[in-house]
Amino acid sequence: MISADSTLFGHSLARRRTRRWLVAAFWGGLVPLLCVGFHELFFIARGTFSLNTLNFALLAIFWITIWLGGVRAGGWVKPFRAQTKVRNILQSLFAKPQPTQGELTAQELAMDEREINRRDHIHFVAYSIARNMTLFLFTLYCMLGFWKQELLRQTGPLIFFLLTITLWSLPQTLILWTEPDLEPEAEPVIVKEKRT
Amino acid sequence: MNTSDQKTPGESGLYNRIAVLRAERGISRQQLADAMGVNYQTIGFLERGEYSPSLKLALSLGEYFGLPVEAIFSKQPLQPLSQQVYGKQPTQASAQEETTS
Repeated sequence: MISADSTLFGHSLARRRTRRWLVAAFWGGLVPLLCVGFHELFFIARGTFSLNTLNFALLAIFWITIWLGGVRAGGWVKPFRAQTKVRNILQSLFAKPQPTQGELTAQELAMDEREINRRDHIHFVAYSIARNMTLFLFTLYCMLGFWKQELLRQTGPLIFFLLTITLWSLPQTLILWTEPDLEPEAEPVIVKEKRT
Repeated sequence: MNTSDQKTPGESGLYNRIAVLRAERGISRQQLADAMGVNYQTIGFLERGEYSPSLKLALSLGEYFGLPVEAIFSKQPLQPLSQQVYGKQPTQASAQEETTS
């Protein structure tokens, strides 16, 4: 899950407040920016897919992967991997995470029962949200098809793009938003008093 | 560190004595987590009653502390160990100490 010593621009991800800022920046800044960019490129291409649009879409997915990571995909923030510490962005995307200090066993790198339960629960919640969102967007798509065909031609790909972003990043968003503050890793060992 | 028995059941609906037993034996969360093969954060969640352990983990904890599972986890509020062992009511001072801890 989220490592207590992971940092983002010097701020510890152990704090829920930092994680919520990241989520807010993602959904409030990056996603609208990507949607506008995608729409503009599509609009410039007069409602047809061009190579530029395709390149932009792939780049957008790449950025999303970098920011919120994924279950198997990489990224700076890897909420569903145990004890992951990445050294650079390339490693975070393609290479398998390596422990930075000492040799961790396969058991230590694996998630424990609470983390697996949490991961499964979050994916269930994300599925429930995505299911409703898909239904809503599909209804919107059909309604536009009936009444505003020109608008549908322009916004149809955008709807699909937004759905893709949501499906890729919703579980990570939920776990980062809901997981409480983490305790520091290095808790001092209690030393028993010697009786004389 | 809070070493008193858990006062509220938390999200799991279970009371437990993990923090008391851990303090009594002088082990850290990390040490207990290593012995159980779980993340140290999970021990914190267990102690605060925010997570119900699997039967396997509960039995492992019992085995580790050398106690039956029902001595560690309970659906009812747990009595202080001194009271349970010696059958004594907590004194005013110890009750006050537990309230403040």
